Amino acid sequence: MSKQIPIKFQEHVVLTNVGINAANIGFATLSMQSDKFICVREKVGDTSQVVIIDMANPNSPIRRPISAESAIMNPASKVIALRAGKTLQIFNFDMKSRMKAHTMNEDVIFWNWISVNTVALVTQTSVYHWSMEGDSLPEKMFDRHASLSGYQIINYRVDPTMQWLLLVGIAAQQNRVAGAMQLYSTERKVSQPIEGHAAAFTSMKVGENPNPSTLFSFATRNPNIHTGKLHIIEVGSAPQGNQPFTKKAVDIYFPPEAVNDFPVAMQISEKHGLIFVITKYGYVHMYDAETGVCIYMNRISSDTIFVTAPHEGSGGIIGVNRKGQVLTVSMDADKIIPYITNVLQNPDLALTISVRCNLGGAEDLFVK
Amino acid sequence: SKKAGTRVFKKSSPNGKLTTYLGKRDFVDHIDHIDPVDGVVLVDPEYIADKKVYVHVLAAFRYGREDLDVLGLTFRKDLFLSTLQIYPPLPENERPLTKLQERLIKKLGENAYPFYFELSVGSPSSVTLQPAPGDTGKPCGVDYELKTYVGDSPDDKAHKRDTIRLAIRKITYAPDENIPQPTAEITKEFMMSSYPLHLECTLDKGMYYHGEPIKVNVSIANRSSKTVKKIRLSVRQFADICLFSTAQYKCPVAVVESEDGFPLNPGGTLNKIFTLVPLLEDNRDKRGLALDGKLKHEDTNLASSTIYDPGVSKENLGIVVQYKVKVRLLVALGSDVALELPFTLTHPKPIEPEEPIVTQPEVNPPQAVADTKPETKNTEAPIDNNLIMFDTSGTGALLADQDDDFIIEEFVRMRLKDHSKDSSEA
Repeated sequence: MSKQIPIKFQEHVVLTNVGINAANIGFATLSMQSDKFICVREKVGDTSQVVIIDMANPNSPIRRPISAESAIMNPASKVIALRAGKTLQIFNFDMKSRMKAHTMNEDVIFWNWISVNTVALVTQTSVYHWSMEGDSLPEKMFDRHASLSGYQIINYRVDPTMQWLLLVGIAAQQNRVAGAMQLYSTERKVSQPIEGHAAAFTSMKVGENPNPSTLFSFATRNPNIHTGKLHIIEVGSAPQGNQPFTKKAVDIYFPPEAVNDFPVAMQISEKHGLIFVITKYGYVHMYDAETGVCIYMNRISSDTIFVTAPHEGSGGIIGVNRKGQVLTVSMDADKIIPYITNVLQNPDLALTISVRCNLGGAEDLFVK
Repeated sequence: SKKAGTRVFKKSSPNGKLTTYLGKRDFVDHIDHIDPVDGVVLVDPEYIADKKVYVHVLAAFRYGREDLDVLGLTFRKDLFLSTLQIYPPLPENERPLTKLQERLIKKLGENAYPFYFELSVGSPSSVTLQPAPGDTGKPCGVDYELKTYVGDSPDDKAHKRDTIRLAIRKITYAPDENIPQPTAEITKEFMMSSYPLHLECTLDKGMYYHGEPIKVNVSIANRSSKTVKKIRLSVRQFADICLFSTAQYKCPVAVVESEDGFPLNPGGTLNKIFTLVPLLEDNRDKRGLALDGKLKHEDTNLASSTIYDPGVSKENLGIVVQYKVKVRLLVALGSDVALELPFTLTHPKPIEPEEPIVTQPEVNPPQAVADTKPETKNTEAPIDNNLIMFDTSGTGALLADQDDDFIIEEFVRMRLKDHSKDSSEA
């Protein structure tokens, strides 16, 4: 095998093969909060159903009648959150019981699980966190910034410490899709509007630092020049004993045939310190989070990948495309170091990654 | 819980390019509201391409036989007409789909277009005037027709090949309220008698259902010098024909004559209960008798009493039907003594069908819209509907049921059996 590809690409299941109607494979009807479950709303005859695909056993989806307009599975356990207008309900699938219910004063326009026990609720005006603990009610975190008004909310993310909150929206503007984000600090209670389409947080040890840094990465596509930018910055002040992280900004390359392409998703592997960016046209880019070096890019899907989540097992990214392919992309542990060494000719990066990921293949680097 | 299938009526145009689906043929006037006429029309998109499809509901008073219409006169007065363009759909006609429409469209696909009519309050009820044996054509009376047709404008002359006519009925059920027992009395003085003849009658109820016996309590005190020979009781139907000017027709529909206890001599008294049962069965020969709107080849009954708001003009009611019990004492060598007791004849109010399984339960529980309380004060509002059903024993069966639970009933074309010109009527 002369061809060295540093990523592993895998198709896990094609949803249309397990009984999902192709028409229901889209942003509005399919949700994937983690690599554990995929949730699809379907109408069969007169009945609305939710179909739950347990990725541990993807060929036996579970179907249940629902009357909700949105269904999201808890990222870890068989708990489902359902929403119909202002009504929110949480059910435990194994116990077949309702755990919590709440009625909002405003419609919820976007929601997702931001941890195993917290649901984030985005309304037209504000963002709430709803803890599953006890009788907790949704708690308002911040008011939405005017820069996102008129934007369709496509994502909401938090950093591992839940101190940094980020709302992401997109809107069609002239001949392009604009991305706008609102970054909020719970500590300082201030918001910052940022232009960008896809973003993620991670916590990782950088260089010789004794403590992990909280890194925020976001990707944009500048409408005027045919490149995008990937930014990696440390949010908040560096922990004691750490050297502050020097912010990085690198170009995101878009091939000439993908003039209107833009980033749609980003996941960061905490385990490997790698940033995966997916574009609208189905390209995947893999960057080193510490240096911002683009390790590899390639087109993996001719159909738009409209939802992604971190893939825990491989430290990669899992996504679903419009055709219903559930696919993962991760680094190939056997090939990444030789690839960085031989193709990228970047022995320093090869060493860093081999140490960070505890990988072989860099032994000869010490000899060099 | 498994629900029974939903009955749906359907009829296609002679060329098969349009089919009308309707959930029922009888639309009930509940006095405070009237069942809406809703359904869908399935069209052949290639056939209708750039044409327009209309649906109308027409209530007409037919007062002459069409087969006698040689001069082009129509013996017809339109009482209510509502026309709707259903294809291409007009945005101004857009309204939320009814459950039935939603389900039909789900089943029939995107070429099914909904229609929805609200009959106006005070619109007439369907009444058929009983034709004489041998009469052909549509009987006289007030009838409703749901017509689907193709044309460039609502007034376009429709072609029979792409027209669908469905006969529907509007029925009124008397409100279920306590009507006081009708009671009446009369005191008759005769010449040469020092004392009068007194007659007092009471009905056991003020409202009867079709087929129900009417019990008339009769009390006679004859202090006169005359002899009462016998008694005659009758139920009479009064039909006000409100066309150009109002004319009233009376017709006895049940008669009892009795000599039991008679003659009643001077000084005698009589207390007796008589029973009358007015039935269409006993009145088949009476031409012009008002019957409840009749769908062809289906039996009906005597017309129900017209329930109407006395404040509304009778002009548009077409035919107003009322009933009275008449009690007459036949007096020897003197004039008869008679009185009348009005009552209501109607259908029992049908048990409202249980709401079908709600596929979209109220998602917005009633809530003060202007509730500006902070979110944290919003204590858990009662949310009764679970948004998911876990009890899925036999989910597959349930789904199959849900998918097929329409019982489609064809509006039968009577062409083979019935060669009358109006063969497309069902």
